[in-house]
Amino acid sequence: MKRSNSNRLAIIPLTLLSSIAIIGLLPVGSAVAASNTVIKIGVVTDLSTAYSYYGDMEVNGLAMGLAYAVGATNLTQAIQSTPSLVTVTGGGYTFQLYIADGASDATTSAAKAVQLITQDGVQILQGAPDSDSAIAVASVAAQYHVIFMAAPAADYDITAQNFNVYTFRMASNSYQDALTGGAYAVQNLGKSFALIAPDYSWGYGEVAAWTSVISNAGGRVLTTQYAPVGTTDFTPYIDNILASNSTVVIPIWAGAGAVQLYQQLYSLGVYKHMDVTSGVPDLATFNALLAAYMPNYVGMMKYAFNLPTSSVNTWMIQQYITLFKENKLPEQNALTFPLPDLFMPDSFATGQAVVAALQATGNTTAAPNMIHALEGMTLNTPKGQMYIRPQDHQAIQEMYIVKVVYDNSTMSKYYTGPSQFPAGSDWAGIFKTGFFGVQLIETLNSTQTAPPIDPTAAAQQRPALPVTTTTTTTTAPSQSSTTDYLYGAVVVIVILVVAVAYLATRPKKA
Amino acid sequence: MAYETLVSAIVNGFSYGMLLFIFASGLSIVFGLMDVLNFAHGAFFMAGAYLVVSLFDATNNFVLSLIIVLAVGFAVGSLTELGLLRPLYGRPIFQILLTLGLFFVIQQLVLFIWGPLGLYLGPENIGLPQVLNVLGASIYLYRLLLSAAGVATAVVLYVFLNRTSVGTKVRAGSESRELAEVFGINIKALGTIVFGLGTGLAFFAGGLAEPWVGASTATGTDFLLLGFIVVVVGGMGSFSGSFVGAVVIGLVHQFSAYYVPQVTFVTDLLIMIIVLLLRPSGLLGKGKS
Repeated sequence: MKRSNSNRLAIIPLTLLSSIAIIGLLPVGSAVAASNTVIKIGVVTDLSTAYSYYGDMEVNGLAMGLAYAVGATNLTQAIQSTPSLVTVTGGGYTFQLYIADGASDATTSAAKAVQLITQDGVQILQGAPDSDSAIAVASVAAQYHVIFMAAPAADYDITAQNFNVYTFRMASNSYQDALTGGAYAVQNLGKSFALIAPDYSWGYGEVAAWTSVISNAGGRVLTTQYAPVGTTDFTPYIDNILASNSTVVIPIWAGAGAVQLYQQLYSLGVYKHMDVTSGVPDLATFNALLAAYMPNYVGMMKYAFNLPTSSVNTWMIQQYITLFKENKLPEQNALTFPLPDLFMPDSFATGQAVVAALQATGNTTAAPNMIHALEGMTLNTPKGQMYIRPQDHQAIQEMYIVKVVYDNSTMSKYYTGPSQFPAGSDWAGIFKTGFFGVQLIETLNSTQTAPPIDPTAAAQQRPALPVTTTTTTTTAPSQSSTTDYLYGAVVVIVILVVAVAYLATRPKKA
Repeated sequence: MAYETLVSAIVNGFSYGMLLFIFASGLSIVFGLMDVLNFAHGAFFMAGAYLVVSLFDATNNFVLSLIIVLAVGFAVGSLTELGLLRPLYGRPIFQILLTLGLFFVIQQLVLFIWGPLGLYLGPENIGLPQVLNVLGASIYLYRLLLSAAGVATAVVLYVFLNRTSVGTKVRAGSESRELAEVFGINIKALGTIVFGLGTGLAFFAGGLAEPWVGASTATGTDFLLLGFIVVVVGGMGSFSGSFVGAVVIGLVHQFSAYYVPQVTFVTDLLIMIIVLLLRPSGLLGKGKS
């Protein structure tokens, strides 16, 4: 089931960013109730870097969720897609999804978001696979007074420290992950913990959440190792973890570097001395790259096709399979898993929330009306009932503890054979070999896994109803990335020092 | 602090130093004979890392892939010297601009061929997943082999420079171009060979480094900086200096990764600054400043 004979992986290259300044004039909101209402949604996603598989799920889930909510039944007709535009039609609505590649880069994503609003005239924004990009898009949305539906980005800060009233998130966040996995680990695996996380804001936030959950449950964190983003050699950190004599290791790592981390945890013998637990990733990456290095794994999981018991989930699986067979998922390629994968319900629920809000506002997308409609909304989604908390706009939802199991029977329940897969699918061998799936150990309900509400988020002023103006002028502040500038400065300094040293020591031979 | 961690830091540090040596010796030899400060060296390293992945995919033989990478590097270097550097001898500023430009051209070329995603062949995928117990510390067999490859490269280069006629000519040319030419040495042809060798070493180091640090556009810049730090610390143009410099920087780099990971690059730079202040010609340089 490997993608090629050597299972290599992607590393996100560092790029030097530059600052951008944006000044824009734009229309916001529309209010026409006709037989066919056209709604333009700008989707900032990732089509080109290490997170592009997450981007695929983001687009596919959104299109399917919209189709479900407007009552479409024949999805191969209702969803039409070109590389930059996906159209979903049904129930008197036409949704035009403008797909923009933010490449998991905050600056690019912010620029694309501005373009979507000012040039394409989108009325709602949706994004993105990585959290830094989602935060950047959220601030653009606030500047332009456009509703932003975050998914699948998981940084807790999006609905806490960086919260703005225009942002809503149906995806579960990293604090919900920690509440699910941390408490389970303390009760069942051990009391002393070692954490390893990337050395930047998302890593610090994750570590803070896990540490607080672990100590509240009666455990203790003995060591926390921060490794730079882009690390491929984790040996020093793993050696320090082994030396700490902890009983449980929690690796916190997003993106492809996780493969090196798990390979090295495995090779350096960590599993022999300690229990390793964290989130189980999407089934495609797990089967293609990780399963061999995560033996008998038990951990938390956001979603797998067989975990929820809701009828909406059953609908999503059936329709997904129909689209998959005909190669008609909006973003479908060789890696696309034959069953709905990890982030599908996040975007699916996002589509449902958008339709429910439009129905409540009489189809106006003006932000004050949408905010009013979305706050406190309850929806039946693939993951059961979700509730959008009015205080911080985070959807609380059920979460799962799972055990990795070998599965060689499920595929034949849904497909007659590999001939039903589109040509070129990486998964054609799955009928013969089976795959690594998950078995439910425990479902934690939405209250058990509800993260703390950030008091500053709850206190932020909501715009007043009713709204009459439809045009706003805004000036966005320039953005910069301090670490990238520092990195650039170090490069320049070394080049200068070396050039000076060179000119000083250069022997006169000519 | 745990004893095994110390052993692990020393062994991995030496291994990293040997990797740096293979890379920096190319930089040093080219500077010694030709006075060319080669900014493209980091890009050659990066290209070697990407190339070895593609070759391994095709041949499924890592050693063979490394040999091809070395040969391709030699060819690329020789052609670069013939076509681009030869018209610019004696004009150091132009050389710096040219090689710096070449760095970015190669980087874009790599992006064009292999795309924006980095690649990584772990030791697990080239058939060397073994981890050995060295005095209580777990060490990848691959890192020990890498150390051996570094020492072997040092011996081969030493013999080449000191015991062969081409090597003698290189050393003579490094001392004085005019005198060497008076004695009938074809200094231009020698330049082509030496630049080819230097570039070959950069490609080779990139290939060897792949199962450790991966292939990404960031490694080109990182190793260019580390390479410069090594030759400045060791003494510019000094072969034995680059060996000593590489071991020092390799150990410092790994020790800070183990004990204070936030400041890894800063400690490398500090060492370079201290050496520049106390011994501007480097640890083993021929004090000319």
